[in-house]
Amino acid sequence: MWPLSLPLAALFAPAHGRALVWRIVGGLAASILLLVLANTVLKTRGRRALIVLVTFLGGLFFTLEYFLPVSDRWLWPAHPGSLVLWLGVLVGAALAVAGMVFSTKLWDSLRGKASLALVPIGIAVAIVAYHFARRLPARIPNTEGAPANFLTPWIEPAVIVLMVVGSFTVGLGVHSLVQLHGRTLLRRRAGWFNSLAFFVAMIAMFAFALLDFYTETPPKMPAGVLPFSKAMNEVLFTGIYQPLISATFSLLAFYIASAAYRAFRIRSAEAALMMVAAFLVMLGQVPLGSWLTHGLPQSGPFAFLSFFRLERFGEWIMAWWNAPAQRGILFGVAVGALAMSLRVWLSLERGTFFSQQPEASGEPSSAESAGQP
Amino acid sequence: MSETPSTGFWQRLEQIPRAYIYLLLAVVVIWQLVFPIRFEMSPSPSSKGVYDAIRAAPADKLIILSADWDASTEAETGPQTTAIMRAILSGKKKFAILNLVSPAGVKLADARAVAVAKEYNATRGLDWCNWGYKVGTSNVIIGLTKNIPGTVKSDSAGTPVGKIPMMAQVHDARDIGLVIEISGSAMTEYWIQFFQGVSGTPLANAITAVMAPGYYSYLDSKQLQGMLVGAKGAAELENLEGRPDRAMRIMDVQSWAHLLILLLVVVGNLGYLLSRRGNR
Repeated sequence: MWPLSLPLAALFAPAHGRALVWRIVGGLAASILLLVLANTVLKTRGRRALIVLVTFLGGLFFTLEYFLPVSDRWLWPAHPGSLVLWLGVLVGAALAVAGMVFSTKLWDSLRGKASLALVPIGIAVAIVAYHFARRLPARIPNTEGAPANFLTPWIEPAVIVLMVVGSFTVGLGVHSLVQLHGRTLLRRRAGWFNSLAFFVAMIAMFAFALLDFYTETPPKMPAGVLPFSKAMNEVLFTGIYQPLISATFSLLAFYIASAAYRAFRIRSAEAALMMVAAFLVMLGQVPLGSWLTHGLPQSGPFAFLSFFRLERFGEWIMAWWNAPAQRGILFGVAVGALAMSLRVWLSLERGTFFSQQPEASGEPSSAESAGQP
Repeated sequence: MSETPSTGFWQRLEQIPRAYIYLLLAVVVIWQLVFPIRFEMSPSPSSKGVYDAIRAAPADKLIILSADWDASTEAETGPQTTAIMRAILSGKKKFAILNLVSPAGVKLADARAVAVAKEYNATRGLDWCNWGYKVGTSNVIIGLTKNIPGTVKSDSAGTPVGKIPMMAQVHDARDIGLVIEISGSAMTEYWIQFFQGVSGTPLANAITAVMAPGYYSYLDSKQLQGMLVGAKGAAELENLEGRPDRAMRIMDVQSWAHLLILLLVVVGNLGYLLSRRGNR
């Protein structure tokens, strides 16, 4: 077992009863304290640095866990590929963090060039080296025989932390909705009744779903009879929510029919080509289309004609014409996503909250310095 | 919205009021629901791929059904889920339902599993289970590759994984025989990146018809073993199982609805072309 796994296991060991309550209370208190400290002690620059650091560490962890091979001999700094990888990401991180904290032209230029170049180079070298080193015997530490490197035992705690942070976004969404609709309701703005409906629906669904979850159905209940909380949840979810959302999306069929009729006009050769393809694919998707061409022979001297059966021809268009085009788009999107991920990881992406917020020292925000109003 | 005043027959063809189009579509749908006209269907290679992948999954390994859908796409994903569950249970395999996108979908998939389990005398906890909704999408998938009990923790009813008998031998991705992503959103990519790509576990998906064009590349590269496309895919799987059901009824309706839309497009274009010719 890796030495770090022991404190981790103790920290994330399941708790029950009073211990669980204390952990929840302690966790909440610590979270509130941290939030208060972050908002009072730290200035804008400090908060920015903190976010940059946490973002970078999070990205670094998952990247390294994925790329580092499962071998003893590979561990840093034993292998040149690994060394370059670590060096690349650490220099990149140091430059990015320093650049955010000490926003000077020198740091900006370094951060823009050196870090962006070093990180991918480090990763690329590590990947190449990995392919040479992967034949080395795999080390199997404490993950029940699964191949793992020294970061693997941290995966579960990291995922738990991310899930908790993710859950906070739900709270943020609810807070935002309550604020918006609460204001509309209290000031009796136009459409206030919609806001009222929002509050009634949200509270009712929330209350009865929770009650339903925690209510045990008595064993001697007659068939078809449910406790009040469960029955109410059934009415709200199965009786109201589900049909409403199904009906809303069913309306799309009518809009599509109308939109296809109105918008699909042969105004050019390309449009004509597209229409022919659409006809063939649409008919190929339904049994009626198959029936229209079912007479084409599938055997004998004219078996080649079976290619023109609508279901086959439609599939051919999708697999031989659509797929390559989609693959091209995918490659473009993937390259863009890689570049974007690097920028987000190293906090080089502008336009975030902190970039828009003026510095406490009077330093103009990036939006202002870019000449935006 | 006001309609442009028509001046001639061809122009009128180009400007049929949308109310008439809606009415026509409603009539076609109701007609086919009441008096269906059924045509034969032959399974597409992508649907056959799903069927074969289920058949090929080892009986001692679990099949994950990532049922990431809710009522909005139920017309397509619902019958797909039922058909897949039938194919799994008829092959004496076990499955676990998971939801990563929509908490509202957990009950819907659960209800279908309960109904299908009755048909095959399958028992909850022994032949199938519902892990419920898990927050964290990609993080959950990453967690599943390494430690399934630690990531899932409890099922949708709050039962700890340790108390579910069929989960006793399920530890990590090596205990999973197949993953089937059933979704109206782009979740397949996550499974490819973080599960199939890492563990090599076979993956198939069942998606709404509108999403299908984007996934043929993954079929071609064999990252997907198969793909059910909309209600058509569900109907094809029902046929492969020899149990035509609800999806086939949907296809009866869809056949004529597609034909109506195509006829409307033809009529609109006739009006467009002939009215232009008349103007010249």
